Amino acid sequence: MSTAITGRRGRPGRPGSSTRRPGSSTRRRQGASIRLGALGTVAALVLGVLAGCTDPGLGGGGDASTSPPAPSRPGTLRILAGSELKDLEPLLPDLKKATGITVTMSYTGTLDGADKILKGSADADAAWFSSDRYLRLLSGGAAKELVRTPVMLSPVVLGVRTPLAQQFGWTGTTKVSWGDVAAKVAAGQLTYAMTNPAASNSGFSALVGVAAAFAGTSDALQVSDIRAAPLTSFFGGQVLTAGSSGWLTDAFVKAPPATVGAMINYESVLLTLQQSGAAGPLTIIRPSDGVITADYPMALLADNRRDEYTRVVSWLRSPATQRRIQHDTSRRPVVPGVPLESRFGTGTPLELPFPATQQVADRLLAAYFDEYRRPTHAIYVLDVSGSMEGDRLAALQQALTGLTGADDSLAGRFARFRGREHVTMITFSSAVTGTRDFIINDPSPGSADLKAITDFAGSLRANGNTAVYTALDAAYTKAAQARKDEPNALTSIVLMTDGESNSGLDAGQFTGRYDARPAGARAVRTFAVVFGEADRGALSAIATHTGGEVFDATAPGVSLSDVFREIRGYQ
Amino acid sequence: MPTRRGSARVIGPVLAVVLVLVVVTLIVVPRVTGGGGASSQHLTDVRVLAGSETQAYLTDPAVARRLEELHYRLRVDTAGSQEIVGRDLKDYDIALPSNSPQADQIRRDKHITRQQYVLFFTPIAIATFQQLVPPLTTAGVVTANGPVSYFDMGRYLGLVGQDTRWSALVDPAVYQNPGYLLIKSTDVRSSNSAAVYLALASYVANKNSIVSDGGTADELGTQLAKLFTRQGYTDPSTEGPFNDYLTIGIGKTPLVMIYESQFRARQIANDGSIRSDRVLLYPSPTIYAKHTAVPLTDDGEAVARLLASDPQLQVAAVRAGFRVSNSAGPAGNAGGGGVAPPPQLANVVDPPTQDISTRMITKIDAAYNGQGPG
Repeated sequence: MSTAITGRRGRPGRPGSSTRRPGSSTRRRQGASIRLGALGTVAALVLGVLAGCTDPGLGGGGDASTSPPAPSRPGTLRILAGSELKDLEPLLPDLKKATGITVTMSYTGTLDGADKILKGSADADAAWFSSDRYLRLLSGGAAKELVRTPVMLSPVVLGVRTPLAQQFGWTGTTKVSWGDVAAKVAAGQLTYAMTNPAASNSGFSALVGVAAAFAGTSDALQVSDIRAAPLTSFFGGQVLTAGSSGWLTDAFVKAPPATVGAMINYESVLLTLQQSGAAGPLTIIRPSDGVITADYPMALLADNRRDEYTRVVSWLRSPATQRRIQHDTSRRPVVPGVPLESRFGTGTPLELPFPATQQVADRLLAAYFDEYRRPTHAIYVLDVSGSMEGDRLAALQQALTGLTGADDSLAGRFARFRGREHVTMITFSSAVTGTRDFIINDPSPGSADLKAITDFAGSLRANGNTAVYTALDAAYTKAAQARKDEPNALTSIVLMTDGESNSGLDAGQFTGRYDARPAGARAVRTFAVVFGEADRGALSAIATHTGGEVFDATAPGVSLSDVFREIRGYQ
Repeated sequence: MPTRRGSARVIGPVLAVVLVLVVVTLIVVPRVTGGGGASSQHLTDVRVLAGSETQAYLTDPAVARRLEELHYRLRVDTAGSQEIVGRDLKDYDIALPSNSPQADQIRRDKHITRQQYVLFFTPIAIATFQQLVPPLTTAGVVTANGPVSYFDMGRYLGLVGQDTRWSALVDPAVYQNPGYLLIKSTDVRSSNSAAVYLALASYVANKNSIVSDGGTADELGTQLAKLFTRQGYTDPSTEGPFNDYLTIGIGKTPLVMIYESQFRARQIANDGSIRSDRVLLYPSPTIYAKHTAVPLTDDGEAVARLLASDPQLQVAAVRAGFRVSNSAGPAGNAGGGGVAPPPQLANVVDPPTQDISTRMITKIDAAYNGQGPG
């Protein structure tokens, strides 16, 4: 369940990455063109033929994202992949040299990928995600994988800022369990970053692993074993979320150390971050009561590409490539006979069982959103200026109703407004035209709480100018109040506009007011949606300044609904 | 030797939907040597649909070279053994399921009168770690007989029945695992090796008697379901848990149900994966998987006969970890690399019929879905 957002070249936290990517200019260049909308058709997402191109994202990536889908042809393997596989791209030229096979990768989230694979609309010869376990639990999912071959391993573990780890006595060979982590969370001494488990496999693995560990037995989890109280306590420590492991890492690196003390992520990400020092010294905890390990299986989807597939996985699993994967990406080799480097620690972490049924997995996901995690406050700032009239307004209405349960896709089901969620809708044209608050007590589709949002969406009308900054400023005033009223809630802003700001505050005025706000309000991120003729540069600047992100709803094959759904992973 | 009747067909039509259509086409291109090798235009292509366990052997370059000398070239597709039974075989010269009951069924279904050939065979076995052997011995599960250690299935099922945990058997300083004592396997609903495990467990649970009536099958399916449901998510392919054993190790697979051939192939290849702490146990009783070729054409018959009898091809099979019946005594099954020949096994039983196995698996499937005690 990795994210669709794909702006990053390689793994965040690599040596040099923090100096390469701090400013808005880099984000703007990458963000506006590439990082967008991988939830749409795969066609829109092909990031280019990677073989022979050592760094396809820089320069040419943006154009590639709009190119038509590569045709299936002999000698080529088109792979639908999770974004965390991007750091394998540097291997592809050598793969091409060794096997003659041209591999192209397009990226999407795991649940979206599973959706497409199930429906047969993946338009890819192979799938490559950090895990296929959830797909295989779905009815008909296993049969879509004609063959599957694990390529490498990385357990989902915890990285703690070293001063904090030392304070806790988590040093040397001291055994630390998920229960110990939960105790520090309960004592108010530890907060952490973790991806959204419906959007990213690392978060999902952590959720499943912690639930199994708290069942006390490391047995396969049944619904009756799920213990809500310790899980609620544990996930109360999650103060930073994201739709992808890479984005989470970026945000962790940038966050003031005092605001978030640890990160749950792949061991490979944490080792790389430890090596780069971008987040300061980091202590990696492999919890003694168990972990869940991603095995990165490559699965064949297209019967007529068996030969290409076999040659590709054979090369990837050759000892030389396995050593290189270990060295370059800090993932563990999956073939016996390639020794593990010492930085992976000694001893074998206990492997916690993954649930055997979709029922258990879905129950955990639903409970995470409705019960365990901190409540959320989503502030939407919606452009209803005259230019939104017609199809655009209809798209907005559809995007909003999709989040109330109308979207029945796999990813859509876990992107809905959830229990305990506070939703604020700020509409604007020449000025703010309305502010409505909704509290979701009953998250079941069709509930009165959700119907209120559907009705609100249906009542939207378009006219007037575009006062982007005035409306966003109002959202921050709302956010500042929310941080006081609901200090535990995860509050975020979504800004959707289809044009340039031509009314009210200008960018400088907004930024000045934002910078003067209290730290709690400034910590609220803005996720900006490019729609219609929106000013990408201006939205990128807003996203960068607030620690948010830009999403492009204008990319071919990408709908506003897709983007609204994807942003749910960050809220 | 007892046959493996029925185990091939344990996966019934109800469950067939979960079978992955595994068909790997691998054209084995022989090395055409400049000297004496036959040129490819003189080679007869023989198309084989084989169980995945034999793929490594059939695509072994040494096998290809030997067959080339004999003027044949194999074109190998692999499929689940159960799927082979259901497939249209008109494009093939040989069907090679992983055991003989499936071969029997193919011959019946396709009205084949040609003789079938058992090419080689291998028992189901349990891979574990040296540090677990003493506590399992103390618990009466493992008994050593000379260099061979046996795993008492009856004693094991008794401990599982009492919900025994590793923590009750092993000093946590040696191995810390709060979970149930449990052998890891593949998914019984889709995988043949797990179905063989179920066949074994049901025999023992049925007071050392092959389950033969539906009522008992229903009862035992429900009773034995926890052998599988307690594992949580299970891998679809036999290579999966064995690979976990070799790479992830004791943290994931303290005990894993495999074929002896998988372990021996690694030992014989001497690739470093079978380190000194790796131990192979033989369940008592055990069941053999007999890889049986059903010739579908004259060319197929000629090649099946060669695979079953040509000394060089049989040596290659032994190198792939299998046992062959026409070796010159047990030593002929050693396979080289200084690896001891496999032990002679006395306590070998037959699996139940396909219908009985299907009924048990249906009960286990229900337990997965929360309709029974798991």
